[in-house]
Amino acid sequence: MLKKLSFLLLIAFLSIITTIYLHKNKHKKPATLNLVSLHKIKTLDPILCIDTHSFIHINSVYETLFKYDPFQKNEIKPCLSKNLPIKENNSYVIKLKKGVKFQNDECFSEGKGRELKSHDIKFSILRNADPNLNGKHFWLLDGKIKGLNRWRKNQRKKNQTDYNEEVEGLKIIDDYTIKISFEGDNRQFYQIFASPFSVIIPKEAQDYYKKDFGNSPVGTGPYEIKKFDPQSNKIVYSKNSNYRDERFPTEIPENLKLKFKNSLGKTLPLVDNIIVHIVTETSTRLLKFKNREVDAINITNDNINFSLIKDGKLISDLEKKGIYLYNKNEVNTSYIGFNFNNKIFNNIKLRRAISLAFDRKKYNKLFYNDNSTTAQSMIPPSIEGYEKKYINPYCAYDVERAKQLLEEAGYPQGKGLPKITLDIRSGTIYRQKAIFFKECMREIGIEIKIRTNPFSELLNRIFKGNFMLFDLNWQLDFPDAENILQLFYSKHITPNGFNFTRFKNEKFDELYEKINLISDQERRIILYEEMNRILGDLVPAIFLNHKNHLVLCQPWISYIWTPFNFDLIQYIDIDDTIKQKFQISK
Amino acid sequence: MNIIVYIIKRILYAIPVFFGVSFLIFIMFNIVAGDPTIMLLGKYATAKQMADLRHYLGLDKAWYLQYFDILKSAFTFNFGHSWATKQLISEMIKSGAKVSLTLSLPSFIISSIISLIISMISAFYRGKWIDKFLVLICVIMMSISALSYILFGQWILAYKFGLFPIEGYEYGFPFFIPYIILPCIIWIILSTGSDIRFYRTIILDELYQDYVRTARAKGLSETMIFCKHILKNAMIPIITNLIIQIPFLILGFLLIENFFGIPGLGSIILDAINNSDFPVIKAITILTASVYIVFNAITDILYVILDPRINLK
Repeated sequence: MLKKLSFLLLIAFLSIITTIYLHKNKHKKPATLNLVSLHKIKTLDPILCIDTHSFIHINSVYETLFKYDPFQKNEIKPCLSKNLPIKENNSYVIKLKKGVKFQNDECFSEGKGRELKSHDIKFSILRNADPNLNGKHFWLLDGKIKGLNRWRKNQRKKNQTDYNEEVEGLKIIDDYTIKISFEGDNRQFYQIFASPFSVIIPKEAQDYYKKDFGNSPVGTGPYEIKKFDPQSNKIVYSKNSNYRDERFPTEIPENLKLKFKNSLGKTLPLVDNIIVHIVTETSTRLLKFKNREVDAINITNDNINFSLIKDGKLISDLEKKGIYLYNKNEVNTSYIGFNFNNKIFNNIKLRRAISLAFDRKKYNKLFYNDNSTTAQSMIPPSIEGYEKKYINPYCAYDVERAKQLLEEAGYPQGKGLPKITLDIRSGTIYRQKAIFFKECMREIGIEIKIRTNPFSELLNRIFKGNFMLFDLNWQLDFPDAENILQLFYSKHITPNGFNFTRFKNEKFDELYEKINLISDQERRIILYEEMNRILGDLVPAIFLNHKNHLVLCQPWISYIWTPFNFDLIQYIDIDDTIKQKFQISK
Repeated sequence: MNIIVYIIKRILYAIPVFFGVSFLIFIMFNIVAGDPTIMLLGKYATAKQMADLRHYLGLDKAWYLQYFDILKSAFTFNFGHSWATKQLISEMIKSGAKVSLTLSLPSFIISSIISLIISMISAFYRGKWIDKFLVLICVIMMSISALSYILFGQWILAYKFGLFPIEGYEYGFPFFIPYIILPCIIWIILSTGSDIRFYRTIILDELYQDYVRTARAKGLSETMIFCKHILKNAMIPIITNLIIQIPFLILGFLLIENFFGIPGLGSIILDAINNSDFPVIKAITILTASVYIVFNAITDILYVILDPRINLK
């Protein structure tokens, strides 16, 4: 009896497994791009999202008025706007493309996506400023658009936001035209409306989904996500059937033509279906990639990086399988900031000694497998103002000179110097980096105490000035050196801005204030370079490195990434012939 | 004392425990933990925005009002919305617990059965080579870390031999089954080692009791003594141990869920910690503590019912 029962149970179990596999195979589609996200996506509400990895998803569904050209370095081109408007008396008249439709969704009448109109632009801007929604990107518009701050103040007193209340700087001229007026000269106009936070959303979606709006994106972009669940382990995209006829550009730089030869002129998005697998564990991610289950994976700076890349090249084992490495500069700077409210750090010789005692080359080798650029100052490569030839003498590794400077600073062999606390965020890699820093400083007699904090606590410490040294990384939000140089402008000393080090320098401030008065880009770049050199010379922080964007790609995909484009998934193509060839030989 | 009175008394005892737990949670998250607003607002947070958000989240209220909010949410089970995902926390817990249970329940049942059987065999053949071998295996199983089993399972069984998916999860029966087999196997391996040792000790404890000697003196066979007398008495602590594990089943297994991409409660907790999503952490802590208190009370009551030797007073 027992034997019979066990046999029946075994048969039932095997049938279930077979059913599942048959079901799965029945629904398999040939052209599906399988990507991986390293982090879970918290929300798809553009005004509440703060992490860059989530913006890739937001900007695949929603669109902005302008966008960065993925094939021309930091160049902005129209997206929802018909053209790039010209400034007249600090105002811009934006004409929208006609026939742009939102995706079909139950928030619209009869579930059919309606045409994008100028009131959607006004609503999206107001939503960003709505105090009742606690949006996180108001800084982008703060004090810039005429009457917007007043509108925000008025809404604070109300229980429900009035989106119909007039705002002086937002005038709807007709269904396809809106005029945006600024308080003063705003040279970052295009960047503001090309930023991933400035996407256009329909009011119906917010009214219909209410609290669930962040999980129910409704946009005009190339893709749609039917239902998003932040707890789910994957995000499934399908092509937005209402997406207009957009084409892969035919005019792209010569060096990219071979890579994208099959994509030129094709309708976007190039792949109709995408599955983004959320795999937070590095080893699991790599196994899925090696098993050809996913088409590309980001390589983080951990042991996996070291096991895959040798001397900047992929190990031959992977190369034989046709896998290639996509390696590009990101736009960030890692630095260890001094607290200028602490008197000891007002001693420039001490700061220079600390900077000289830090072995950046070894740091880059140990923690980044030489896949990052050693920093000479604050501005990262690929941002105007960065000088490739500039070598900062205080970013060299020179222990003898550091010892000499320390002595001149009044602390021979570190004597008389209190123990310096370095605040870092918790995590093995951060701790290892801090230990390396500690060892470097010990060489010249400086004692470092490492204090680990949960990230929120580290930010709180920095915000309140309750630290001696802090370790942080700054990612640029738009391709303008001002975005990173602001970290040392004295009027931006925290809490008035993001000058966390509390650094003050008259010459630097003077140049910073000049930036906005100069319209000529060439002259501005000269100023940026000068400011960057001032920082390099005065060492308000120990400039560490600029990280790279490393992605492992399967041979059949044409991968593309640029730092300020978040809508690039639509440009990734799959070559089915190559895919089949490699999958057969697997 | 009447059993009903005992049950009422046991429930009343649970109330101060619950207040104590909720107060501890309040101290941990509302007093000791840092200001979460900067994390929630991102790098462009201003002092004004932080103050606004603190007000919006009710973090600027008097401490006793904040504690009252925790108590209220604990009694009404209305934990509000997650700070990070804006989802209803009760819904998050419900869906996460369901997923965790698809993994933890079969693992728990199978591992309990296996542990019981092996521990009985081991105790029955106590001191013999089979017992020694089983104890050695248990010690080895316990000594290897969970991470090693996971990495080995994913690398060898899933990647090299392709027996299971490397990671992933599909909602709904029976689609989740292929994805939970490997995690289940690892869970079973991880829990059986210690369970076998524990159950074996309990059974062996009973072996040296007076009533066993009496039974032997009466001439009963070893099998009869073992099955009819020893097992019956050993079952009480074993059942207690099993019941007390039940509340933790909804929490899943953080490490396994994380490596296998199973969107259960374990992975929700991990995300909440990473995002400083205090309402979610508080809700899960309160819920787990409540369920634990309830199951603890049930265990005590069951003790009294199953073992008449225990005095109600």
